[in-house]
Amino acid sequence: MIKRSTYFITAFVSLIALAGFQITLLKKTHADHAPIKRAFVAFSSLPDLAIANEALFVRFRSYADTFSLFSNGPELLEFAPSTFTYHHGHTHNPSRIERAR
Amino acid sequence: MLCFITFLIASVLFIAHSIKYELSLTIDALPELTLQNLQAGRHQNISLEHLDALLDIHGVSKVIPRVWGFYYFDNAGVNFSVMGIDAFDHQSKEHLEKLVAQFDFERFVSTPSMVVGEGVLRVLKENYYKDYFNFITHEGRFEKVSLAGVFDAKTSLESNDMIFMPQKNVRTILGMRDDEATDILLRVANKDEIPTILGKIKALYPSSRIITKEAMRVSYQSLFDYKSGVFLALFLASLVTFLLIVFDRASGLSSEEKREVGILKAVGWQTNDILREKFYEAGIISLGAFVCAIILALFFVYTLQAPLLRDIFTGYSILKPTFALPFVLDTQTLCVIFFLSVPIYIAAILVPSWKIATLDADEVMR
Repeated sequence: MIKRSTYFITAFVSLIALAGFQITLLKKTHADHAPIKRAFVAFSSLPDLAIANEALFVRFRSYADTFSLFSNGPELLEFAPSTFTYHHGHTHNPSRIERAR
Repeated sequence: MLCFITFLIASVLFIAHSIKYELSLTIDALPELTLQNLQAGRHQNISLEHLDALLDIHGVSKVIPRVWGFYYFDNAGVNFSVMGIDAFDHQSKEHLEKLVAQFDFERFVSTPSMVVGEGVLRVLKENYYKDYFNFITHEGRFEKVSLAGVFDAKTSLESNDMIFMPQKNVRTILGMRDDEATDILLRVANKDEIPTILGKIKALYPSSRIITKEAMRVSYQSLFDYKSGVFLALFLASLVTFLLIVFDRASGLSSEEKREVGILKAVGWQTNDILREKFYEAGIISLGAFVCAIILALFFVYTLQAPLLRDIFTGYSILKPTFALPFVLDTQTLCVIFFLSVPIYIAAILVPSWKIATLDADEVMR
């Protein structure tokens, strides 16, 4: 019983030590690139990260306004309200555009 | 299971926090005010005639017209962000020499040239363009632009899809006249004067849209706040799954666990002793799961670059940057994960155990 407890405590302490080692290693390997990133943004003067760039209002979200989606196509507004998700057929649950016709 | 759910919640929160940190790092370098022209609710180019009137506003120290836009490369199905710069500006030269490895300035000013991000270079190479690219201009003609350099890989998250070239080339490609710009930046020396200047610009140009640095900071905050965005959806899904597990544990002990409690009561254990044992057991399990989950989440996000989760954040865009997120250990995030997992799990074990432990041994074992 005591032997099992010793093993268990050793394993738990090893886990904590591993976590500490991993954090130290990540801090050393992930050097701080803040100065060069700031220099780039100061030069480009454009906000937002280039993580997703499928559309202008996604890439430069900070510059997007309420009409950004609309200018690409009014039918795209169906992505926002839930009528698109619950649309079973045009007789049961018509979209706003169909209702407006 | 507890470890897996905690790992999922931790991974999502680590990614969100790193992206938020990356954005907050660079927001101070942005201009104080950005002026856009809106017509019929849509963004239009702005006339350069506005520059003099804007410079006359007291408090505005600098006015910079900006020429930039999107260029859609049909073959690859990607959008490039094209930015025009003043090639002969001394500051631009200094910036480019700092940000671009092996930057050929002479080539940049003598021939139509561009500096691109890593993602753009990758796409060009995939489409057999080695050191130049043929843009199709607004009028349908070809504009050959040579490659003068690539941005440092450290700025990949910011520069991945960007192309910088002299302003006149950008105007030719995007079909912009010489007397217009995409938007205008305003530098304000005294931040306290921004609301007043904003009011004056709005009075001068009622159809314009003015974006302040503070508004961008708020939009970043709301994007990554717990109340909105895809982070909330992921976080809620993980949390609901975790609470289902906890509810299952809290709804009652299994017959084997009841028998165990009964036997302990029969050999002389008191209710306090049983609860203490259950507390240690649940505490060790939940703490062990928490530590394992954190170790796995750190490895998954910062070493493996979150192979499945990152696709949620990058969307369906083809031009994806290397997801090398900055390592930021936020104690607040760790505390949130800890208090969401450990005390709740311990409570879910203790409550049914207490219900059983208060009964007689023979009643429990029956």
